[in-house]
Amino acid sequence: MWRAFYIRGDLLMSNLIEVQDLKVWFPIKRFLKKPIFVKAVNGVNFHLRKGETLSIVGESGSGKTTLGKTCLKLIEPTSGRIIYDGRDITHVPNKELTWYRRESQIIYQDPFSSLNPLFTIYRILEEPLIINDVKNEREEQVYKALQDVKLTPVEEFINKYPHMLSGGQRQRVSIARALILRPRFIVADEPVSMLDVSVRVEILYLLKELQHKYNISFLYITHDIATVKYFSDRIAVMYAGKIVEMGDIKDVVTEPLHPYTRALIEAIPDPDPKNRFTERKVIPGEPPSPINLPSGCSFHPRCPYSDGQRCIKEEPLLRDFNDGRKVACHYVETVY
Amino acid sequence: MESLLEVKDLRLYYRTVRGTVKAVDSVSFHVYKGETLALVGESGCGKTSTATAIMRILPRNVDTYAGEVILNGTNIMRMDNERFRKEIAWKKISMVFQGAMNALNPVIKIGFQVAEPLIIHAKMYKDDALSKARELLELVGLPSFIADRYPHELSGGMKQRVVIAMALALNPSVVILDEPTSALDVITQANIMNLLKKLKKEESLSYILITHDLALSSELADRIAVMYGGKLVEYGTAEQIYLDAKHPYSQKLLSSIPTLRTDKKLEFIPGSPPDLVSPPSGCCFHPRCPYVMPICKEKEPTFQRIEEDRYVACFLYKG
Repeated sequence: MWRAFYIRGDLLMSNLIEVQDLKVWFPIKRFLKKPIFVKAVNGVNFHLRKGETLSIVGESGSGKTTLGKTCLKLIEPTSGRIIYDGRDITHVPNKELTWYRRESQIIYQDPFSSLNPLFTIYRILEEPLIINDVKNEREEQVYKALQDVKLTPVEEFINKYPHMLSGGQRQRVSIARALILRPRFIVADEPVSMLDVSVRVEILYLLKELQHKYNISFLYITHDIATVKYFSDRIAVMYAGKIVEMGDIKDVVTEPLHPYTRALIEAIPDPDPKNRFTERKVIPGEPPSPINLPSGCSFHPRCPYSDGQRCIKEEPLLRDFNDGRKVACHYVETVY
Repeated sequence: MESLLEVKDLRLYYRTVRGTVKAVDSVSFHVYKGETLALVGESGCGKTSTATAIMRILPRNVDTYAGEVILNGTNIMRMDNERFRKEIAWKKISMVFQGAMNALNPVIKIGFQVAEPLIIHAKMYKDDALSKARELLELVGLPSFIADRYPHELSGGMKQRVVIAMALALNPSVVILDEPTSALDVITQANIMNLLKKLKKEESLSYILITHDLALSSELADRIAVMYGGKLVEYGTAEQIYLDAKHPYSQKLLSSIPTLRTDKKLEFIPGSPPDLVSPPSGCCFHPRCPYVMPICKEKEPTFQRIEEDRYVACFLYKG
């Protein structure tokens, strides 16, 4: 019996964050009428192990950023549970969450607007230390953080203002700011999509290196599956507030099972001069409005495999397919 | 093959407090009829400045604006501004600006916005222009009732189609596309690329596609011009560039693209693009180049022909 307990304990230990049936609905109040809800996140389950990267991929409006912010408790969840390192933090009031604010950080998409233009780089990096009452060795920590993100020689950057840096350098500053309190959990919300293609890889490699160095778990939010392959271990594909496919990155990219994942991958070109002679296969339509989701499977209006009956009526559950792979589609077995 | 647009030795320098910025420095290329030329390079290398120099949309601090732009045999750089505006802009060469879909007027219906160039430039009556606008919307794959909608009622992809329709309104022969799909989702991006391919085939349009993404440019480009530090460093057909890039910068740029279907080790280009006020001596790529030789720091390589219609600016290759 102790052995069973040990295994269970081990499982619990290895998960840094676990999200159970998370729902985030935003009410739209209407005069003299019942409010309607924007169902941004609509029943999401996942877990993130220590030192692992999970990518959340989806189109804009699929709820991926809301999910990330809710995991950081920047948005209050409507229902469901968030368990961080064995502690349930779902409904803990903000005042009692100061420890979590140090443990978790976020890197924003736009390095041009996420840094205060009136602060020097030193001041930007010192800010989290001031807020969290770190009194000793602030300067050393700022230097260390800049060295970590390879903005060297540090003296050259420390007194500059954000507008004097290039996009890639600014993003390094915001990574340094996220790292300075030694968090164990970082949400990276499209950290490279505003950068040049030639710089993207450099930043992703840097994040990976820092992950190994400090044993950080990343939730990498992006719409670009091509970069996912080089950075993360597992992937979750989101559509209309739900995860439709989840699994190891290699499996999902080489053999996507859900029709939506297939469509996403099909839409991305590889650099091949033959591309210009053929049109790309694209699914019709636009992502559904999160106010008025389609019945049954929310993907059925755009799905090439929809049967027009079961898909319209019955919502597919995210079920295990094989080793760690999860797919939410009624016809996974028959379509492939 | 007959070239439709020829750019020869185009130069556009800006005056700034810190000194002269050589944003476009001796750029020369051809655009052939029905073909697409992709201008690729990192941000700040002068791609958009090249486009605005062709379109003559210049800021006030222009220092030097010289060279030749030959459209169908006539040098349009010699035209005065008024004649250029009346005869060339939008009628012969039009442009889809970066982020243009966010510049649609929020209080005017889509139909009027598409019809506006027709009323101003083609002197059409309002009703005729509106019905032509509906046709144009259908051409870019939108239902014609969109003409009665306001921009906030449309999605990003639909707005981008509207902007493309506006660029096509006066039947131009060359359309300049400046990052036409940045800020769009991947599926919408694929949709827009399919539309551009279709229009290219059906209307035999010529495009100049400006992008930093070599994976995306492979969707349209017949020829590719790689820019670095305001200069062209390589020019060739899509096959030549993608399969056999000569210039170290093009090679590095290609090896930094993440690919989905093939496994390769990604590389990145160390350092950052040059400061155009005080560019490095000699070849401006030499501080980042893996094959740097002593001569690279002293002399600037010429943009020389190495094969038929293939040019490289690098000392590694002899003409």
